Amino acid sequence: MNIIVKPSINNLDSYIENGINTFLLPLKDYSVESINYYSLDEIIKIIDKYKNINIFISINKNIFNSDIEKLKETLLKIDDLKIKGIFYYDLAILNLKKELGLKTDLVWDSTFMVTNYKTCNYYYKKGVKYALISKEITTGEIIEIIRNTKIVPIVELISYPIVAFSKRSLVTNYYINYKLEKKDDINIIEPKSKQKYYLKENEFGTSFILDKLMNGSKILRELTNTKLDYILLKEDMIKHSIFIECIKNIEYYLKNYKTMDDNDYKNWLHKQNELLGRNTNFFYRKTIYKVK
Amino acid sequence: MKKIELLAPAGDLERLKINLLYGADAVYFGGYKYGLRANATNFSKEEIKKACDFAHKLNKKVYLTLNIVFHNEDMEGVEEYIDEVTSAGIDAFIVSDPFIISYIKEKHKNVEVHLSTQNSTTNYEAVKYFKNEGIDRIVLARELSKEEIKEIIDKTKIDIEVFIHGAMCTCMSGRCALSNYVTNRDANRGGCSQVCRFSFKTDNNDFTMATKDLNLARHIKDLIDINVKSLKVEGRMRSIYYLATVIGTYRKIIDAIYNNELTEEFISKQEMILSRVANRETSTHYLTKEADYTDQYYTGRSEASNQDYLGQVISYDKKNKLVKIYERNYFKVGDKVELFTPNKDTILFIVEELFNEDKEKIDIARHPDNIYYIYLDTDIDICEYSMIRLVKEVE
Repeated sequence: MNIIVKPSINNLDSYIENGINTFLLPLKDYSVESINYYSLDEIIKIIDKYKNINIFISINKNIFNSDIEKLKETLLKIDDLKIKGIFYYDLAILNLKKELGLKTDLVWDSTFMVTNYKTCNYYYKKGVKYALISKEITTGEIIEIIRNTKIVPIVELISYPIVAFSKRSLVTNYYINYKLEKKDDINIIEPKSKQKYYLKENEFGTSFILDKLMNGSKILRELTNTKLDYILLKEDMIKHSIFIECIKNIEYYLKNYKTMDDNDYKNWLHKQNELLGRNTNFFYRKTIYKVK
Repeated sequence: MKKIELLAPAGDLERLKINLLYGADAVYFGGYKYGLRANATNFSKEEIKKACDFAHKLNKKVYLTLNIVFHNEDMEGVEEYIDEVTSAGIDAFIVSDPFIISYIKEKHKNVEVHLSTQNSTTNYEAVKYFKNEGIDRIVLARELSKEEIKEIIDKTKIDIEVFIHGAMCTCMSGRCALSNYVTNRDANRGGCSQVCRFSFKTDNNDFTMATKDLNLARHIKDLIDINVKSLKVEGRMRSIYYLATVIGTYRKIIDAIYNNELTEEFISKQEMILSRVANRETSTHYLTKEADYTDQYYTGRSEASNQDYLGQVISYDKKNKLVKIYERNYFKVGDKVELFTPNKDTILFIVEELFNEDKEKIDIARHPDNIYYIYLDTDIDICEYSMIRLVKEVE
């Protein structure tokens, strides 16, 4: 099982020193729902500097007509970089891969929509190599997808969950309404559930980030019993030293899980929970949709 | 010239009939499973058959929503369900999952597939992708301008459907799990609890993001001019009065455009009628400009209940000139009211004589859900599903 890291700092040394060689970098001007973004020039510099790493690039914004011509140029430039793949949200990317004859592999990353293996297999037949599975489904559902799909599944294991995206400038609108000095972010709380959200705005809209770290360490044992190839760890909003510690712990587990007994596993999980908290998101919680 | 389609939402069979009788060319609704309004009444398989029969007799169409984001377990039985409802006479499925699209296109070549707005399709390249997959129509994302819609139509030549009226999401469709996280109800499987209409708090203030409703009454001609194929009204859980008014109003606007009878006075009157049935303020959102500060509410819920709707007509006794109505809101002798019919007739009159169910003369109809009779002398055909509303002096 390989680890993909979405870093929050440009200098990748500290990750590489701890055994990470695969990174997900959100592309500036074509990506949303991140705290920091990388221009194509910055990504090229990273590729030049670190020879033996794998790069995935995220292009996960909703694409509009006015984006398309420049997007084509960008995709052609990316194709020359021989990166590992492009995480995409919008089907325009899949169509352009065919139209432009791109060789770069694609990762289906339609967030909440990657919820069943039949649709994963559909995209596999369309030439999509990977899929980032929704973090809003249960561990059982994730494992069923992994066991029944030909696509290469990726499971997001550690992150502050992205919960929604609006094209509206919700943060700006708030500051205008209260006649306050404009900022591009704000913290809000839903009083009944006590859930806190960090809202971050850029020129494309507003991202809702749950202010409660998702810690999927508990499901790692179940995942290692499947053929899962990749887990994704997102550093956004996590203190760098804690994130590095988390990487070390997961690396340790992946190297040693075959020889770990129940007690070793309990101790390992306890250490991860102390570090990251115990929010397992929807991994053990099934949503409902009929209330009558 | 083939007129643009007016597409209406039907939460149940009664609403379906009202929509079609008041001028919708087609209706959309969900079955008991697989639709994004899991908590609407929805349609059983038998009702779907009845809906198809009713609509087809009027030479109109029915579209079934199958637009949830499918989990593994939802896939069990869906193919058999599609086969069954197709044989009931469905004209099109509204779908978001490409696997389901491919199944329908492979097995049922005579039924159309429309791509749901749940996919938030915002550009011509994504449209081309689905066109190549055999999709017959795309319901575009609501975040597009008129120019963007036109460019998509010009470059893809596929049938395009756009929302023209009703509630709006704050976030991009399909890209919001607020309901899942805050209330544990899966938005993408029909359980949306509309968290975007909740009131949040910052350190010092309330934070609300609820949007005003969409109202494109004044822009229907623009949409016709750029070759949009279908105009969609939102609201499967709305009342029959709301639907009769909104669908009846848009029917009149569309017909006026094709008859070259659209005037400022006419459209202003239609906008007034739409505003009276609404419970929220409205906006054009993204069609004419980028949505901004003016398109939201900032002080929590701001929704008014509508008490203009006085009742539904059950029958008209021509001999005794009595309209029998099923009352919904208080009214009295002396009130100025309007009776409107599915045939686009309207009768403006003052309530002069009022009777209770036992035909005893009274001054006030106080009790909703009771039967009353109103004296009305008219030659106009007052048919079933006609309705009566209060007219305020401002009109």
